[in-house]
Amino acid sequence: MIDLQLLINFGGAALGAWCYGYLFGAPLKILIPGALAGGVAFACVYLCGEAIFWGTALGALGLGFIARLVAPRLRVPLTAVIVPGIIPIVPGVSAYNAFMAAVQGDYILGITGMINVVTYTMAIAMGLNGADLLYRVIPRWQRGRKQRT
Amino acid sequence: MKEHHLHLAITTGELLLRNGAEISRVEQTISYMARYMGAMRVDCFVTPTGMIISLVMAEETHTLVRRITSRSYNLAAVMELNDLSRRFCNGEIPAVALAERLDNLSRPIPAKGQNLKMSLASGLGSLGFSLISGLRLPLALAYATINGAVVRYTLDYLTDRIAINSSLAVLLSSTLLTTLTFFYPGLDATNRNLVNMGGLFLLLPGVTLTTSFRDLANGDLLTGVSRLAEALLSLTLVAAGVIVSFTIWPWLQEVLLR
Repeated sequence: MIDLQLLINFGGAALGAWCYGYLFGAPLKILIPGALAGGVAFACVYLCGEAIFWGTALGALGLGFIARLVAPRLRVPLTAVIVPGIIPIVPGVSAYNAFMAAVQGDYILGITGMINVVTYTMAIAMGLNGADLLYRVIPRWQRGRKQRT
Repeated sequence: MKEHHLHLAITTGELLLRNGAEISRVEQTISYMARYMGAMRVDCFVTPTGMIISLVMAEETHTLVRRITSRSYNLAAVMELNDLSRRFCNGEIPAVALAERLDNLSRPIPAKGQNLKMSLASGLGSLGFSLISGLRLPLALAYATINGAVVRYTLDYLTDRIAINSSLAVLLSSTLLTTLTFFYPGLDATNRNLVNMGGLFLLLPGVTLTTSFRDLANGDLLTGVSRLAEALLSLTLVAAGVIVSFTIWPWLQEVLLR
């Protein structure tokens, strides 16, 4: 049984990524993979529930992999796929909420929120760099295994 | 290759930076192109607001500086510049053709009805973000779509037609959007906040914030810090716009009820 909320969130994230990609001047051939990557990334966050840090890192890792698979085939720079795809998981709203709390005098909530924002942002950086690292390591490991056999 | 062609390399880098390419891509592109044109040593120092390039060519050192005043995202332009630089370095296009193409890319002509399409995309984007924020009420989703379209149209109008700077445009758009949300009937406080957030999402510097941390993690400290400052400034302006709206709303309500 497919979770309806998961489908709605996937669709919402894909729509958001598609539209943001369009606003960033991305051509049609990038919009589709960008939207799918955005949907997958947000689905990871949604499925991880309360573990937002790990969900965000996993989402960024998935996004990084999709971008590395798709970008060379479409002959486009990696950024062109990553930028639209990353939109649904960036902590823009969390940053805004934290900032608003601090401005309205709730400094504890503001600082806690800002720490969360830094953590989620680091999770994204970690996920994307992790995908980059794995994408370099796996082919070498496969080549090494072939040579041994 | 003539020395004045080195300007092609820095112009390509400048256009890449203006259109939202990563710092590493800009530095690599300039370096590859300059080496292809005969530079023996290339040192690039690129930040979001300027570039300094030093080249050693035919035993002479050339230093080129470019100031970057405006930055936005245009992924199609980044792709084209990437492709052009690659083809140039492979000897597939001559310097003259490259210069002509770069000239065209530096003066883009907006397509007819572009603002309307952008507003529509922004509205739909806002709908998508409202869905992932947990908004499910159909009426509220319709309001969020309107908000998205309004915020983009306002931003374009303020920056393109009235030509005010982008910081002030963000502040005014945020104020207008939040005030507009107060007027929507049939919403409780939670849904009203989510509707407002759907539109504000387009003004929030999430990508800049993430890019700044990636730059910092990659060791581009100056770039990372300057992008972080840019993101914090945008956040401050969006929040200030909302606070202005919250402050003027009771007064506005009183005036309207009179």
